[in-house]
Amino acid sequence: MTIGGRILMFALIIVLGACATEISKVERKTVDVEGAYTVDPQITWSEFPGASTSSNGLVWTVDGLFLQRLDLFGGIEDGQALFEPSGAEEESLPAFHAGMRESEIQELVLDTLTQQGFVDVEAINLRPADIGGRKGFRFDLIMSTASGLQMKGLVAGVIVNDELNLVLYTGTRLHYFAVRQSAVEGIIKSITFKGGAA
Amino acid sequence: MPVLGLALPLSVIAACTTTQPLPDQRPGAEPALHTEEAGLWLQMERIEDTYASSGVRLKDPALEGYVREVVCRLSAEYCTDLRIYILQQPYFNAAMWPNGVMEVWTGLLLRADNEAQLAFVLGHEMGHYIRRHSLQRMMEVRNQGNLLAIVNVALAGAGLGSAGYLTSAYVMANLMAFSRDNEREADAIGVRSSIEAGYDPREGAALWRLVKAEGEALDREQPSIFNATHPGLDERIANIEAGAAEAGAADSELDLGRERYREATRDHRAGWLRAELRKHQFAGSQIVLDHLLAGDPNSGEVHFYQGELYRLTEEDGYDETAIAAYHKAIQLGGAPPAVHRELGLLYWDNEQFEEARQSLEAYLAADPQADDRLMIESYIIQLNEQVST
Repeated sequence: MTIGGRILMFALIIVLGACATEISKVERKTVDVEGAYTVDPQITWSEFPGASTSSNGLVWTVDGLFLQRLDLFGGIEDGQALFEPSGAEEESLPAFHAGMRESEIQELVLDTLTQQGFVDVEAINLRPADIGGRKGFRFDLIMSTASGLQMKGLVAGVIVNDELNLVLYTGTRLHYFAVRQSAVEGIIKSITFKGGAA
Repeated sequence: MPVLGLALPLSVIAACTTTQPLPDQRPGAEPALHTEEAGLWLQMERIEDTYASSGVRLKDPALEGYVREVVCRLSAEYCTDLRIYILQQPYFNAAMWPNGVMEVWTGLLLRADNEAQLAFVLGHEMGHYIRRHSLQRMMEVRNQGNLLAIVNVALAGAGLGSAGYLTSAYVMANLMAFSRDNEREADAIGVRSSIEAGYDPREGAALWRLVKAEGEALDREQPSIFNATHPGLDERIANIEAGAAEAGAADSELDLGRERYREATRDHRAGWLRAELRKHQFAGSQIVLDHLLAGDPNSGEVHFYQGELYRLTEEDGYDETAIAAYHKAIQLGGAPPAVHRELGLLYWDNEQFEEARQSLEAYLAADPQADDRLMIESYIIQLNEQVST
């Protein structure tokens, strides 16, 4: 191999290495989410750290990210978006602001998902909820992908010390949302904040 | 070889590889099976098949039918060849595929003030179809690619391979110039077909002015003359106005179709406005709202979304502006029930607890089936506590 060829091969390895996603099994009984809270995963999930585009969170799935995805956000601070910008020219991701009401956080989630390419994103049943002993909220999602795949979702959130903690679970309306929904409900019930209940 | 020395051979070869204009697309005609145009259509048809189940497509037969009526008024002979797809994309755009697929984006439908503005854009897109611009561009890319290969081999043979970047830039500039010429021709057809159908073509210029103002508000850079696929907006506006003046149609004979347009798009405008705000490109959205309010100053719906923009921009002092816009929306009528909810939450932020409670109760009264009722009721309980202390 010529020197040029070796350099090319080395560059290729570096590039591919940067793209590689280190998928790992989540088998621990308790998982720390960005130092903000802990959860019991309930079942064995696959974690996608390299695929994660979330700024403060973990991304899990069992059956594949395109079929079902659980985002656990912890300690989102004032001025921070839920996801890192993708670099798309027209993208302008909305940010969380301390003092946002529940309906505004719902709007933040809807606007974020829409900018990520989901279509007809709607929230239903915004309601108060106890999350980890704190006053939080929940709502449900319906939407579709650009290619027309019907999706469902659920969101549970709570603001602690002016930081947003959020569980965002989405999956295909047929089968894949429902198949792990009870595990996600168990995860939400298991949320324990570092300072304990309020 | 000096740089200027490249110009002569490049010009000579370029002249030999220039794509000759094609005859117009004939109404009802399809390309012969053995042609590269047939291959192009086949590729397009495969993509078109995915539109049947696409989540982006707005499947509203009434709205699609309306757009088709405008297309048929522009050209009865071509309208049956065209298949119209309305796509939920909150940006100003329309597109024409070589096989007769016409894409119309909802961002265009939100921005158009009347049927004449829509007609100009549809006429422009039809121009691309009639003149077979997609096929011409494909042939031009191939021809310019051939030119590039020939010149670069010759340069390499002469030991001047490093000058290849100049020929690449030259070819790219040629392709962009070709694309700009196609757009100019499509604009001219947009003007002509508008006039023939009885629409005022100057409305096309009005629409371009809006797009220009939006781009300026967003500090969107205009591409340089060397890599722009479209002519500059100032040139396009001037060309449209010149074309309209040349045709010399009297104002009284020209149709704007504003009421027909509003009626056809009425059920969707709120959703398109919400999609516009979800982009979070508020400087551009303000230009769009200014434009809509100028054409429809008594719309409670548009005033509501103006209030929403003020609220979302979250700058100091904007709360009062949003409250004023919400009040105006309520006074004019036509705003969604959510206007009371947003007003109530702003009052709450301003510690006007009694007004907040009244507004949230008004929201639940206006929308008894509100899907956030449980949350709003919990807000009212909190406000009751605030009011009683």
